[in-house]
Amino acid sequence: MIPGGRGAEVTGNESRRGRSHGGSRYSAWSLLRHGLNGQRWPAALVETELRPAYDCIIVGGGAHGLGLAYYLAREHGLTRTAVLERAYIGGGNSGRNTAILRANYLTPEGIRFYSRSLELYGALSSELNFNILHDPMGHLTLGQDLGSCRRLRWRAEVNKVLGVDSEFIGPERVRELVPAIDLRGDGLHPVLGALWHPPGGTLRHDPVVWGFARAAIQLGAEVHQQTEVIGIETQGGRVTGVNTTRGRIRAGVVVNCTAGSASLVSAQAGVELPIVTVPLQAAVSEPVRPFLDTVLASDSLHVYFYQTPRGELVFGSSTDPYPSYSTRGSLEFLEHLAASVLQLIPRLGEVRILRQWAGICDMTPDGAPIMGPTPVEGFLVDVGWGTYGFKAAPAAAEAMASLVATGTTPDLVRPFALERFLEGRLVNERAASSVGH
Amino acid sequence: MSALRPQWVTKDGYMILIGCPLCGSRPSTEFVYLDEVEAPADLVTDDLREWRTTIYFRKNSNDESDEVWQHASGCRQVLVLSRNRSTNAVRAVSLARGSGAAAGPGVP
Repeated sequence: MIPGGRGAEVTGNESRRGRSHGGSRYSAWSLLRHGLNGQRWPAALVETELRPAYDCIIVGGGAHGLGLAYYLAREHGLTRTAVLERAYIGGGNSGRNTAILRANYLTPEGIRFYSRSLELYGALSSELNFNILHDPMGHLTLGQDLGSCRRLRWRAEVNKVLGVDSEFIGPERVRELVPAIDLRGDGLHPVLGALWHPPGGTLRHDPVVWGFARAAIQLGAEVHQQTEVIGIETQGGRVTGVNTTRGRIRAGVVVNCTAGSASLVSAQAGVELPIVTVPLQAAVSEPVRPFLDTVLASDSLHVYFYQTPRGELVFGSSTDPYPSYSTRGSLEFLEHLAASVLQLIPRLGEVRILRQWAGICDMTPDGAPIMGPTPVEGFLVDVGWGTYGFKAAPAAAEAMASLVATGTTPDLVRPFALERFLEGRLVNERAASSVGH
Repeated sequence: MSALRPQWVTKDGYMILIGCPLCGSRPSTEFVYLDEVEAPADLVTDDLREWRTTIYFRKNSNDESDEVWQHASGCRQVLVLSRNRSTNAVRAVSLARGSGAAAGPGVP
C-alpha cells in the first residue's frame, strides 16, 4: 500500500529524519549515571513540527495507534507516519480499562488473535526497553450457575484444542488458588467450577502507551498531541488527507485507531460502522495487604477484580445498560459491584472505594473487532474492540502494520473485515467476555 | 410530546431520574433502553446486504438521539426519549403508543 518500505530504495534524508529522537536507552547503568550527575532525563516524547504531508496518518494516540506507528517503523521501515491524538497519549480508553490480559476466548479467530497478543506483550518490556510491569498472575473465571459452567467448560475445551493453557477446575482447586473466597457465594451463588487460565494476568497502561510512543519516535515516526482530526478528506472514493485543529495534512493512508469515537471518526470519511457506543465502568479500592494473586472473575455475577502490586483492588463489571459517550460513574454500578464482590470475599466489606470511572466501548453486533479496509480506498479501521481493546493492542497493531505496508490483509485479520456484517459472516465472540455484556 | 424539565440529570451529566409521562420522575434504573428510533425500513427486501444494514447498523450519535425505552419496573409503557448521548440530558419523554415512531426491534 505504501511504497518505500524496507527493501525499497531510500530517497534522501527525508525518510530517515528524526532518527536520533527519543533519548537514551534505559538501564541500571543509565539510572546510576543520571542519579549521580543529577541531569534531567531526555524527553521520551519528542514533539516536532507538524508536516504538510505523511505517508500514513494514524488517528488516535492509544496503545493501538502508537503500536501501529511502532510496528510500521520496526517491521516495515515506514517512518513517514504521524499519530494524531486529540488530547494526550494514553488519555482515552488505553488509560481507562482494567489492564487485564488473557487468551481464553471462544472462537478460533479470537483465540489465535489474543494468543499472539499475549506472546507480544510478554516480550514487550525488553523489546521497547520500557518496563510494562507485565504480571502473568493467572486468570480465574468462576462459574456459579449451570449456564456459566457450560460456557466455561466449552471455552476450556476449545482453548485446549487450540493450544491455550486453560482448564475447567472444581471448587477445591479454586480454594487453593484463592484462600479468601467464600465458596458458598453467600448462599446465593455457590462456586460450582471455574475456568483457570495460568498465562492470563495484568500489566500497566502507561508504560505500554509511552513505550510504544518512545520506540516509534526513536525509529523516526512522529506523535502529535492536542491535534484533533476534524475532517477526513477524500477524492473520487479515496482518501487524500485529514483536516485537523492545527490545519490540513495530506496522506494517502489514514487509519482510524480510536476507541469510543470510532463511529464519529469514520463518519468523517463517510464510512458507517455497525457500532453502538456504551460505557464500561471500573473502580479502585484503598490499598490492603496482599491476599489475592490471580485475576478473579465471575461469569455469573458479572464482576472481575485483582490486586495491584500497591495493594489496591481494581474492579470491573458489565457495560452500562444504555448507550452513551459519557465517562461519568454511577451509584448503580458501585451498588452492583459491592453486592457481587461481597458474595465472593465477604471481608472486603470493610474496604473503601477510592475512585471510579468509565471507559467508552465501541460494541459490535458479534463482539469481535472491525479491522481492515473500508469502502473508501486508503481509509482503514482498527476499531470496534468493545471491552477487549487493550488486551489486543500489540497483535492488532502488528497486523494492521502489515496491511498498511503490503496492502494485503493478513490471515489473522481477515475474519474481522467490515464486510462480514454485509456478507453475514459474523464471528461470535460475545460468549467469551469475562463477564456478560 | 410532553416536554419535561431535565432536572433529573445532574449538572455533570449523570442520569438519575427519568420523567415518565404517566408516573412522573422515577429512578432511571426502572427504565430499560430498547433501541434507537428507526426510520421504517423495507424488511421484506430480497437484497441481503440491505437487510443486514437494517439489522446491524445504528446511527450511534454522540448528540441528540431519539430512543425507545420501556418503563419496565413501573407502568410498563413503551416511551420515546430524546436524550443527549454525551451529557445524558433527557430533553423530552413521550408515550411511544400512537406517536408514529417506529418502535425498535427490542420492543416486547
